[in-house]
Amino acid sequence: MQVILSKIFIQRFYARNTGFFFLLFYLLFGIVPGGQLVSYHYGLMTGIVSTTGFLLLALGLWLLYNLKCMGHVLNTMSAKEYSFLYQTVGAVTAPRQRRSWFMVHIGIYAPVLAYSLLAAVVAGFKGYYGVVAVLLIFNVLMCLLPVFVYHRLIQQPGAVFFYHRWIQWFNRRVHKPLSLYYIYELATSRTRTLLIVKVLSCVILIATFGFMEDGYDIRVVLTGLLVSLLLHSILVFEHRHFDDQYLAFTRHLPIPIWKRYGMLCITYSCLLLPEFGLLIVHTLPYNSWHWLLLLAFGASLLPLFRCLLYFPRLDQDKYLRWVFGIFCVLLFMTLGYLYSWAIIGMQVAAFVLFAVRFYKYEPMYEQVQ
Amino acid sequence: MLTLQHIQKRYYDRLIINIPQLELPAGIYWMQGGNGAGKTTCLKIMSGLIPFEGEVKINTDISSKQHPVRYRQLVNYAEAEPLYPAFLTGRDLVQLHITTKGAGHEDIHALSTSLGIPDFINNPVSSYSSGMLKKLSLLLAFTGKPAFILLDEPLITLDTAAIQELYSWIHRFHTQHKVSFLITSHQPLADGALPVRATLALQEGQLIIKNE
Repeated sequence: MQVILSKIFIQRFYARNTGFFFLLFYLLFGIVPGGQLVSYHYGLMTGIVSTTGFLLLALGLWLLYNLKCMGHVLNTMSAKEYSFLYQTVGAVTAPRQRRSWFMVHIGIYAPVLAYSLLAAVVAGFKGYYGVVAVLLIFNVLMCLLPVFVYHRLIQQPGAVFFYHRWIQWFNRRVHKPLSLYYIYELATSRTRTLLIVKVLSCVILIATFGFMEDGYDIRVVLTGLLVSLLLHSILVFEHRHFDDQYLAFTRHLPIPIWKRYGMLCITYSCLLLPEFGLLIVHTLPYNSWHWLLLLAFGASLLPLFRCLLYFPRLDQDKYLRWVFGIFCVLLFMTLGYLYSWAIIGMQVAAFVLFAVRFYKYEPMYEQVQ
Repeated sequence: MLTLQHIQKRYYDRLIINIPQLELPAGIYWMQGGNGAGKTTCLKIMSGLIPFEGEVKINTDISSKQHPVRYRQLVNYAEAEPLYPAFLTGRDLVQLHITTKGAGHEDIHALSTSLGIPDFINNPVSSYSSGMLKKLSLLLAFTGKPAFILLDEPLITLDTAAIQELYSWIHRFHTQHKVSFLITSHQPLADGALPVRATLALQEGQLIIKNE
């Protein structure tokens, strides 16, 4: 039984996450010269066990990895093609089942388990006994709690876990506003794309703020923001697909065009909240109102990109050509101190396109009925 | 009354719908047609969901193109195969429709209870069966104060009890609230199920009144 479970859960987990592990391997072992590998990791572990902030960050990341492992096992168990597990694994004795689930979970949690136990050994040598205890308790919980969850699910198929009860409680009390539908979609179904774009975008902005040590210039920040917004253009392109596929029914709702456009601006403003936070924090010490300009810039460019897509024949290639064209125009306007005019121009162009094209738009792949 | 004037709809230069002139006075209409006849496209045109050449008006003066918001308040539409974002709940969708369309002819909670919708209304639509999804989309079509409701294949995937309940809604909304209906279906209507004013048929893109 263990061999089959290993094939179903462990081998598939590593096969499906090859890219993730390749990147992790490169970051941990590829960027350091071979001779310094041991000292590099020893230094990293010493940092983890000696600094509370660093330790909490590491524990947080390991917890996220463990949740990813659990998600993989639970999703596999819920898949139709693996429903036979309930009749097979569910038929063996409870201790044998728990042993099997424990081996499965250890198999996929192994990279973090090995690294954190090594960190615990380093903590022991350095005399941080409290940290040793924390790491051991953390790992025991990370290994045993999932076993309890897997066992419960196989014993009681369809059992409602705390998470689902919480979701139901949330759904009863909170209505999702129409303007946030795409944000929900990104957060629930396109998490990886969203995370990559957000991390890269924030890295670009932080790198831009690094240039401000020589002197503050709004044009530098705007250029960084432009590049960051350029990254979001792919999320905007996906937005059209989401609207076409799932939100066709909203076209039939009696909502005035200005309100629809306002909701579009709110959608992209919410999408840019992390960037807006960074911009406010880093520009407020230099200027009291520039942050408003930057926010308006972001909340104008992404709606403009979206409104371009109300031309159904605009495929990805043509769309990206327009995006780069607009990027170049805005870059020159920014460098020429014309950023206020750029914002007005973007808002006017976006609204006119939206008002003219919204009711005339029909997806290209509309089926002939 | 729903008025269609000079309606043409093309896909890749192929004329799919061609209705020079048609008036549908208040009443219940049953539209028949085989697969690919253009029933759904016709309903989407009438609901203002897709662009087309020509003009559709409700109450003789409210045009789907010139008064899109007012028109959408008066014409409701239920799709044959509704599709919603997976993370939304039935409650989210009902709330969205109530917020945009305003108070309805009847209490929406009473209507939803009669179809058994409260049992699953707080769950995400991704967990719904096709029948549950259909019931929800039909409920949404009865929100607000429409003058005309377009129902595309409302009977598919519904159980017998739900079909009877839907017939009683249509009957009540028509007699008490003066709401007109255009219902498409592959199959003929059971005798006496609804007081149908006329049967419509789509033949080579033309909408023809078969028997009145």
